[in-house]
Amino acid sequence: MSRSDRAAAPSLAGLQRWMQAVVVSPEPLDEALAAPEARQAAGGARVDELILPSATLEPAERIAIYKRMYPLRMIEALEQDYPILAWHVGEEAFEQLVLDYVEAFPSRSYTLNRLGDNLPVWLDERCRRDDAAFLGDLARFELAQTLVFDEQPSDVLAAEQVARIPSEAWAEARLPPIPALRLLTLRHAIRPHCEAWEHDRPSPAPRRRATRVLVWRRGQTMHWREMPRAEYELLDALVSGETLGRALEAATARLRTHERQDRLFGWFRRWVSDGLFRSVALDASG
Amino acid sequence: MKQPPPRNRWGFPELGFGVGLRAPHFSHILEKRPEVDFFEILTENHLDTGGRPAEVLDEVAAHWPVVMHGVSLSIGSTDPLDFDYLAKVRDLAARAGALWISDHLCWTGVLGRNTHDLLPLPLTDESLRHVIDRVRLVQEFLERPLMLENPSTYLEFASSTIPEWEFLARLTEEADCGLLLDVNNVHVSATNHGFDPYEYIRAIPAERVPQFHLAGFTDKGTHLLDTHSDHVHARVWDLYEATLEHVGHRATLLEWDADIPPFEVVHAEVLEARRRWLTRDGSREQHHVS
Repeated sequence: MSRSDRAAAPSLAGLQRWMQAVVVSPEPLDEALAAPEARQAAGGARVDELILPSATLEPAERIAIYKRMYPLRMIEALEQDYPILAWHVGEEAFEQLVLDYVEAFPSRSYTLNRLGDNLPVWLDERCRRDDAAFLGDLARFELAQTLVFDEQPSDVLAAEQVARIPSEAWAEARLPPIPALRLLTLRHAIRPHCEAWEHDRPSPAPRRRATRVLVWRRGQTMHWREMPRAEYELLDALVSGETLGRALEAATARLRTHERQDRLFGWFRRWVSDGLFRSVALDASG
Repeated sequence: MKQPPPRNRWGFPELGFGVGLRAPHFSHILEKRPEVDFFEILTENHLDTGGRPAEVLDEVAAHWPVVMHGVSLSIGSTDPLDFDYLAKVRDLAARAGALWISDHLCWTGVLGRNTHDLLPLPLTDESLRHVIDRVRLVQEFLERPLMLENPSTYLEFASSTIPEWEFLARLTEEADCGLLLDVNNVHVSATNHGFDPYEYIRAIPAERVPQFHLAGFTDKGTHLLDTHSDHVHARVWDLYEATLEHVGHRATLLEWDADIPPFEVVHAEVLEARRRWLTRDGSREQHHVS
């Protein structure tokens, strides 16, 4: 090939756009190299005009090393964040799911920790699998665990502090939650799958059942539990910044008279014991 | 009489022999308090988290010297620098009392995308000017010198005109930055590209180097991959000894990031580096190793 047949070397920006286009393309190498985006970035230059051969590898084989590593890194990152989902769908299906997802939501952050943030939404809205809605619930649960794991530590309301609050102040009191807390409303049961995963049993078939879940961290220990609807709604109202008086008003309307007081006090004691609140805010602004 | 090799340009302490702080070893480190000279943290693992990694880092930083090693600076990218990221890096360095901050001579993505890989640069005058300008901006923002590591690479661009060792020497001099010399990466790239790793080492400006990295690679038959998944290879140990000869002793860190074995195995590997340093003729008289 004469010098005049060779395309001019692309700029640094062009070369980077070319290499990225080839590396992240979901298509096989030949198609990725021939894609308009790559060809345009390289100014029409061929791979053997851009990359030197080594003693053992042709230019295309050398960029293929990077192209192979890219999906592996994405899969590994999401497998760490979504271990139960990965286990439930199986290795091969999970890899394909990740590749499809990353095509829609590539990493735009300096950290891989945020790569999976859109997975629940993507599963709900764009994944074509029959069990996508269940997987969306599972992903939402696992994402909550990741977010709670990374939240900042905070002060935790102690039972002794609760005892010092004058009874007349409670109606207008608010209970700011700890940062490491999430409340989830799911469309499917998830406990059977979490338990099967934990004990290395076969994953059961998904079952539709409205499920309300609390995820929180106490110290460095992660916790979660399902909640009855009334308890969930009261806690959700408090976490959303509602005063205790208004939140209780709404909750008591849903409970039968004879069970109201015992259940409400029981829930509240447990929430304080679980360390779900930072403090009792008595000022009007909360 | 043989003169002691020059120390690093910034007067950073010679930390001794350290290990990369990794999650599987958190409990062991906090419970056993191993006799490690220092720890290196992966910067991104400790950003944006108030959970266990933050708690462990606070504890480690209270007992050992800490240095920071990042993978997302993307100093060679033609995308704008991410100053939000840099602000977090600066804050983390303050919190951990990090003695220095390093990243890689590479780019990780363009057009707002991050491949999370350490992609190679064409070694041209254009790249050199580009990286020098960005290093200066980063150093000004961080208010401290930046150390850049030579990456393992698996391809060479046809447009490259400057040998990597010369690129690094010119970069560190003109940008007034440091070089984190990864001895394993020199061996991996030398094998992949067919250059002489000893010539590379001899061209390194010793006063610009505060730290070495050692790690294991994977031999794929047609090329070597920098996997940090194995013991240091015999040829890398040989190259390390040649590096000690040319550069002198520097903080030496063992990286192990895949198939991570028990802490004692990783620690033993860096103690082997210490043994090799101590058994070199005359070394003990020239430098105190903590």
